[in-house]
Amino acid sequence: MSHPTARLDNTVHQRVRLGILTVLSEADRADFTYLRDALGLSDGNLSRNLQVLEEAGFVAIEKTFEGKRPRTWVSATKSGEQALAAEVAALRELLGGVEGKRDAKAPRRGGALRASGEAPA
Amino acid sequence: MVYVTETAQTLGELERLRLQTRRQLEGLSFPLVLFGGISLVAAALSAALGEEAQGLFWALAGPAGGVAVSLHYRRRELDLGLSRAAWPYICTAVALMVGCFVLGFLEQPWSVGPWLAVAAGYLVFGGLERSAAVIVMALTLAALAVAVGALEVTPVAVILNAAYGVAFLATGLAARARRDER
Repeated sequence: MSHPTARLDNTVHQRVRLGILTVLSEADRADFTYLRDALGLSDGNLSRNLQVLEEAGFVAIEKTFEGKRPRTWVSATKSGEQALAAEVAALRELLGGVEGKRDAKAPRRGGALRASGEAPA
Repeated sequence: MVYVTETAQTLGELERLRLQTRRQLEGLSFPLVLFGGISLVAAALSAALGEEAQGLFWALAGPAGGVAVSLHYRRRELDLGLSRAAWPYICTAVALMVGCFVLGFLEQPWSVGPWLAVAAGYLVFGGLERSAAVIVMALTLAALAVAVGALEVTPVAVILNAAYGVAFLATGLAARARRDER
């Protein structure tokens, strides 16, 4: 079996893109403004990341009008949902593997160590 | 070790984002409060005019309430900029209404059939919304309907409309209060 890092997808691995796909995995669709505010991004930053995800086939973008106001809706495609699930699984496996090794190295310290907080860089 | 810390932080952040999105999408309080109110009116009608009157009332108020709920969800979706798939809710609502209509023809002790259909519908809604409170409410109401049917307690429509109305209102208002707190 390959190392979890080999299963990380460069397109999805970026934090913002992971965030976009996570929101879209819970909702059927989200509009541009919601994603921008929820992720704390600028318009330009969100646009660039959405473009990358759209080109990879991970999201679908639909432009609509409400009266005269344009609105951009974004939804995750099936392959986007699968890519997110695979990425999160690989990250968890990676984290679990490192924690397991650290536990094995320090059995006298009394059980599992949390990944964040105590680890020296 | 820096990478491990970052990975843990990323996973934690994704979980926070997932829960935040789920909370934003929670929307059962409006239908619960609306149908709670309608149920209490139906209970009053049953007590004043008899059980046939509440059947006619539900035939009009049920679909009208359904339309009001769908309009509410549509407006909410546009205000929030976030939506979830509507078809599981629509299918459940249609099945609930058909169930109520078909089971409404049954005689005692199965005259509680429409209320069992409503409880089953809300059990599905609770599952769709991942709401433990709605699931517990639906199971409790189903148990109450079975008990009323089995013990042949009367008048069925007054008792069950009132009980369903109070339970819907209490659960809906509690959900709204929790949402406002956040």
